[in-house]
Amino acid sequence: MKRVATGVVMAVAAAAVVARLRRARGCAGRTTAGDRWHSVTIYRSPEEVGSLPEALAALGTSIEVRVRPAAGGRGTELAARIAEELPTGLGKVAAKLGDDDPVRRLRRALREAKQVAEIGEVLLPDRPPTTERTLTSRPLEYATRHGREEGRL
Amino acid sequence: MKALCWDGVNKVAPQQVPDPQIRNGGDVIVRVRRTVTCGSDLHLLGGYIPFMRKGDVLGHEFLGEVVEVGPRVRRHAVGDRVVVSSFVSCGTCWYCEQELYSLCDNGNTNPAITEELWGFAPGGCYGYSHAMGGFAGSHAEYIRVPFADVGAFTVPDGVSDERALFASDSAATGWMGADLGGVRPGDVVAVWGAGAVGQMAARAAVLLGAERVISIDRYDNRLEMAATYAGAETINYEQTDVNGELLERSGGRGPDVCIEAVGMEAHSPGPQYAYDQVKQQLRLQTDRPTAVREAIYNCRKGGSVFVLGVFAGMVDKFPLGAMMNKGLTVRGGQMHGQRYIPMLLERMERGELVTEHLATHVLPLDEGARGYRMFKEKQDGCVRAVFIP
Repeated sequence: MKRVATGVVMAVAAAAVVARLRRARGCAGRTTAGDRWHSVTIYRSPEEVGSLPEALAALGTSIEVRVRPAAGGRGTELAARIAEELPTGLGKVAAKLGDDDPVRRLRRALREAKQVAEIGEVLLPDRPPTTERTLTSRPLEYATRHGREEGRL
Repeated sequence: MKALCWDGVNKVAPQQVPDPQIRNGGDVIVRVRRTVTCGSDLHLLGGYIPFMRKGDVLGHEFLGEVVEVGPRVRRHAVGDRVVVSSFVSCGTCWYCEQELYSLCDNGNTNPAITEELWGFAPGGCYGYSHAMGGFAGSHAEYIRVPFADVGAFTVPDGVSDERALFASDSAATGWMGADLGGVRPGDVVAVWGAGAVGQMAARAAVLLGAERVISIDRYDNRLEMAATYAGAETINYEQTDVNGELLERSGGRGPDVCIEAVGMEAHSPGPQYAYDQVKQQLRLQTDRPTAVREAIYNCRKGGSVFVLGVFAGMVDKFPLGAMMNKGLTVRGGQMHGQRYIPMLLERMERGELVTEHLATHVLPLDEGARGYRMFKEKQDGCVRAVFIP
């Protein structure tokens, strides 16, 4: 019974956070065509996660955020989606090529928010690199440059 | 500094590369004292894992001395002699909390690649391609070790460099296969592959109380090591019918636990070897799963199969029917070194676990290309080539 009560309290608290965040961004209840919720689970309680993580706050009103306790005591589910019209067709290609893709920025922000909450900082790749650029390495170089911005998140 | 780098498919070369730097508060820089080849490196060399760049430093199994510490490091100081887990794990995410360190959520700086390949990203690994984080490897004079409080372990004075080196990966991997494979006292355990990891898995099975442990390989020198140092019985699969022999040695039941320590470039004397080679070279399958098929086929009803060998992608003719109808438990995984290394170092200190014999060839880093050639071709009885930077 205690567990159920705790769950209800957590759910109410989470709903309050969602409502607050949505109000803060002026996009309550709006459905955005073209984007889905992108979600990470942070192995910290909603209280420990606190207010909107800095990486997401930096995206301002362009995103909608949802926070709720994760099932089974796994921490906090932090989800976000783009609250603006997404580029399509050639615009989408241009955004990706120009490193101006909002979904990529969102994925990176979510991954960084999780790392900051769990380990206190963002794990950085080795520098300076030991590799040299070759013609055949370009695709992999591109993939690693966007290593936190793509994927299934 | 000097480092041994991937220079293209089947090409490695010593090169001058920039020294590593502290990048995060939990980093240390380690001066590498010993670093060793691994069978899984051969998949990188052979181009089977196509996420390498010219100049990438190879190597993930190593031991050295701390020479610089980041501001958030608490457990280590300059001068510590440490052995480092080959996987980069944060120690604080849900997976690390479950001691599934190689599945760490925060250890891979390029999660997108493996998310697309496998659904979700495991942790990072030193010197093991940009799919696994792109961290520079240990075949170098120095290496950056992130999350050092979690992944670097001070070596007790009573354990030599030569012995402790293999706690970094081989011994931890082998132990995991026996542990998570569920070896219990009285079990019959079969281990495919008598390289370093296979020998360590066999030894772990013995120490966990298995009554019979049977190592399977085609190289007599490796089988002799498994018998001498692990206390295992042996089968040379080029001279003996493995299926019949395992039946006989297990009283017709089949082994309780089957550990596969071979990986994606398996050999076999039968026609399936040619079949798998053709399909792999044509990229119609990425891996040759011969030993996995045998392990599943031979395992007793309701038994357990643990896949320790490294696989990259898709395989053909996977015996799903045998797995399902015999009610097998099949598990696999990269190694959770942080879970086992302290215990392994204690066992090494007590003399229960010896590893020095695995280092059949000790070479300077400048001779890295020769070391890998000997290791790959199993020349001169090479089991592992150890490099001293």
